[in-house]
Amino acid sequence: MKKLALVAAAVLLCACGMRGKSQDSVVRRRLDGEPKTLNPILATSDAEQIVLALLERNLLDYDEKLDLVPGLAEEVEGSPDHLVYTIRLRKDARWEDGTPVTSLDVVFTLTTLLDPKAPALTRRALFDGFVKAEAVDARTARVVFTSAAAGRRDAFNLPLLSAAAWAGGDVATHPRNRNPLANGPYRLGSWEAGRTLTLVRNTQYFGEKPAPEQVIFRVVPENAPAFAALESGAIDEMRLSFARMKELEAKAGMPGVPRVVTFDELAYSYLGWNNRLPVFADRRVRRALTMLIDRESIGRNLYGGLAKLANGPLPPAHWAWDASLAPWPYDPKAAEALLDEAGFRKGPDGLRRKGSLRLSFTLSLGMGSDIQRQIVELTQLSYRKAGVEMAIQPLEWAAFMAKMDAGELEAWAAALNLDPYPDLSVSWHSAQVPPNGSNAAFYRNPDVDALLDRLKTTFGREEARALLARAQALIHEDEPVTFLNTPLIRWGVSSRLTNVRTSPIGLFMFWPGAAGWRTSATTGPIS
Amino acid sequence: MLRFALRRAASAVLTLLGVLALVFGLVSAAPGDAASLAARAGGNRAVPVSPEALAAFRHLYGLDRPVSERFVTWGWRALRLDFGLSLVDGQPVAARVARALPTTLTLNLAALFLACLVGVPLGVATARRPGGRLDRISGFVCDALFSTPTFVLGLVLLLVFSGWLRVAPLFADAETGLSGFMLPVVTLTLASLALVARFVRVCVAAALADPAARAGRARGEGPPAEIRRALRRSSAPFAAMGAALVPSVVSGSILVERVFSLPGAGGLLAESVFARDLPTVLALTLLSAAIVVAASLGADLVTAALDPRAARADDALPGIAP
Amino acid sequence: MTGARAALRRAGIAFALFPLLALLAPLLAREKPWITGRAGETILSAPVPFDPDGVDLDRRLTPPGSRHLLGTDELGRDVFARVLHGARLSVAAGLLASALALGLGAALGTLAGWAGGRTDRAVLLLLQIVQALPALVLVIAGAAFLRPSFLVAALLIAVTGWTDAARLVRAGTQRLRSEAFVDAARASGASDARLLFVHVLPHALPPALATLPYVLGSAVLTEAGLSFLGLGAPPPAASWGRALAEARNLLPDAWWCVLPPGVALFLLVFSARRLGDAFVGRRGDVQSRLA
Repeated sequence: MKKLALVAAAVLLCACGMRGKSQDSVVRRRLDGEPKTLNPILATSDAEQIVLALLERNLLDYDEKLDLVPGLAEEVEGSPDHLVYTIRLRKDARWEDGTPVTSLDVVFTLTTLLDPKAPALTRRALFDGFVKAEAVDARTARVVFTSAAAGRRDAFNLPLLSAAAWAGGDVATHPRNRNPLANGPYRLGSWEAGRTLTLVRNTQYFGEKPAPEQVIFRVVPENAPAFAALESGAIDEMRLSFARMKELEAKAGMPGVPRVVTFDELAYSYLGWNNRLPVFADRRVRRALTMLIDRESIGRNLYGGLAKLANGPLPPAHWAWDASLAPWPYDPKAAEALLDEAGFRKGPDGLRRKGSLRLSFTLSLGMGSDIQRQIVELTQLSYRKAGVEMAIQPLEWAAFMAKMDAGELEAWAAALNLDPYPDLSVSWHSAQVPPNGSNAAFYRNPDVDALLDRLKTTFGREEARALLARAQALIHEDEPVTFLNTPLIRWGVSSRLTNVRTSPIGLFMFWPGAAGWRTSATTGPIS
Repeated sequence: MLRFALRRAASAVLTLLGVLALVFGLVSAAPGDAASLAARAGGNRAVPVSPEALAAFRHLYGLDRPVSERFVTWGWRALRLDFGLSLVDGQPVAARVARALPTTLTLNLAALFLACLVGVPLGVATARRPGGRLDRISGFVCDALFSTPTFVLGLVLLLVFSGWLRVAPLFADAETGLSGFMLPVVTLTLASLALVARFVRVCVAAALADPAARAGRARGEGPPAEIRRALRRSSAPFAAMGAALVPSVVSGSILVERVFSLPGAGGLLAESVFARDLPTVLALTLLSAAIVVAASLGADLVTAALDPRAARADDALPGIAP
Repeated sequence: MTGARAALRRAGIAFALFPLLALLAPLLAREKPWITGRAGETILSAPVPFDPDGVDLDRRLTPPGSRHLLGTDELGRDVFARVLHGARLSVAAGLLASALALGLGAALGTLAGWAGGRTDRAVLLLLQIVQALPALVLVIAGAAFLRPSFLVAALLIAVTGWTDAARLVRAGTQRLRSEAFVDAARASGASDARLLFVHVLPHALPPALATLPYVLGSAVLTEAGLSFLGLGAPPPAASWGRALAEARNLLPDAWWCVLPPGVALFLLVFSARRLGDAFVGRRGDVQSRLA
């Protein structure tokens, strides 16, 4: 009898232990949308890039401080005139089928990326001036440009396409887009469309074996079910709203409760003004519009005190951010004085007019962020008290983007995510107005243009910092858009995950990112 | 009868063409461009998109040709069952639809089946004793169910049974199998139950009040025979009801799909319209419209077969709630 | 029959509460007191002394209590006030959408039933096309063209919902067109228009009108669904559907943001349906009710 009990106990323990172990080696993550493609060059959405970050290494990766470190390439060396870059690949870099990653892959990737006809829509900006890429030998490739650019090395934060795998057929519609060849710590195991993607360890990977054997991504579009899943352990991480974050913090310390991880993002939210519109032409009006918004109260109440006031076109996490630039204060009286000064007087109905021009406009909003909507509603009320009439118009994303690209929006609310090496020209140079670029505010300041042009070829960091400081100051003075806040990003992470590190570009898009996560069996729920 | 059937069939084909043309026109003309949308899938990133890339994208998918030409080309290809490539991911539309369809069909057909399973007997029982307790209670409950927005119902059920009580799985996938469909099916069933029960009730009540039924009762027919006769006489309007419920089979469950994270055809359709992915929208529309038209045609033929007079008229039963 | 009449009266009263609330909302829920004294002090305040737009960030998301009977929402606005004012939008959207749907349906149905022949076939074809069209496509594409607004939402609902009314009116008109009394009136020299409006429509329209409560209920629910997808009326419009859609991420904690608009929506649709039931009679026989 006793022996039987012992055996039973042992079996039970083993079973629990086994369950624990299998729990140990699986990480479950959430995607808020279904990836459309796993082609690293064509991928644009967050969901796609999150998955690809585990499948593909870049030539050079960003580490958590956003410095470029070797990835697939041991080294990327620029010539003294900054026109020729030599890439030396790792000897042991291999695709998941065992074939080596070679310079032919580099050449293929660049040719594909920069083919004017290929729909590789987003990665091209840093390759402006590209002439050719050639394979010097199996491990070395040379890339030639016609012009020198300060951010050129960041262009090599680039994943590769296997020349062999993607040969034959159009890149845009290639079947490989749903079954890519991996060279990173994981490879694609299975894809249950619309539901889950399962990644398994890539045995051909040159680097350290990742701790979790499997990573299962699940598509959960709605936040409420996702949070219920996080709490029950069905998923191990998700982005949190401030309310959810407070909830988890209140329960902190209890067993099995997910913990909160935060980081400062390279982004800010803003209200865009179309400077071509007569009502927005005068910078006093734009400044007044900024000063009518109590951004501190917003930060305190809507962001739980976890947002920094934006003071200009660079967020605090950026190395060149000028902390000494004071944001415009919340001062409704001064704002109204500015509006009076600019010629907009309050009429008997409370609305301000300058002659026959009414201070009235429509602010468009893409669907999505709750906080953005709340801020816009708050702003509408503050503006109404000051005699400014703002109509809110939520637009479906497609229509919103179409109008933005065509430069047809009067005013809009949006957030801007910057890349680690942001080229400010894209948003603020007068040559980058729609349809050429993203300067949807139609901002024109020749001094800023000159600074931005000079920055393109400024290679020294200190010199660049000085130029950027001047550009920030000028843009701040002009206030072409109302810079709002940079919120702290909150992430809920299961208590059984360790070594979760953050960076200004999030938890995943740097090296090692999620590939460095480890799991522990002791603190996770078994269910 | 044959002439009637042929006329109906011709009308069905015309309807289908009309639907497709309308959808094609609407989605093509709506502001928003698939190419720039694809570029911004990740949100408002400060990256410029080169005009050549956009032009290349458009050329690749034939978006730079006039609308009428595109419609005709699409039509020809569709006849050969070639639905083209999706603008969103470049994969064959047929594959995308085939992936999404089983989920939606499972969901809707299961819900319909359960709704009939419960609704038909309920309707019959309440029709036989109008004004009785069962009738009053069932009327109340059905109206209550119908009045609740489905997404609220679904969300509440999800949070109570999956989130709090943990008796139902949160997601439906290979691991949870069919049990993952439990809550969504229940949600949809509750929503359709009211419709079915009420409809059955009205039809059967009308049939029972019919002179023929009274004659039958006078002849000494018992309840079972009465019911059977009533059901038979109601089969024409039943067919009409079936046809009326069909439009929701393909895309009607979109709210429930979204709440329960089910990658179905409803969500695919919504997403495709938002992304201006015309090929996918057209394929789904064709499917949905074809089902509706076929069901409607079937209902008309059944009605005409059972009641030759109906072959000349075309009405809905008065007083039936939509 | 008295039982049925009593039921009709009860249902009618219950339903009528909603338009009443909608009309009275600006009076019932506002910050400005009903009666102020000479020194500006409050003598009698409104039952719900808060503006629906009264933002108070420091008091956001407070649960129901003595100050705010139903709590406050994400911007500190009083939920009770917002629900009361939301009645205006939901009721108005429902009424407008159903009126448009019935109007459109009746017009087309009459046209088809009266004119017959090719016109009839054309209308029938249109009807079938609309029924076979996935409403989702129409709604999303329509919203892209016309920018989401209260009017647009009502329009879109109407455009997808007119078919039942059209069928009913068409059937009625067709049937009555060949009735004896119509022939008699025609023989005595009455014009077509007179025949239509005086003799035929009064009998053909009621069945369609009887569906009004049901169409209203559907319209209100559809508006809520549109808001869920982000296509409803824009801020600061506070329809119940929008309130529900926006507050859904607050479940299950801030339940007081979801329950009141949800219950209000439910009661509106429910009372509309009960009214429809009582009106139509349990046998589904409309003609006898109106005879």
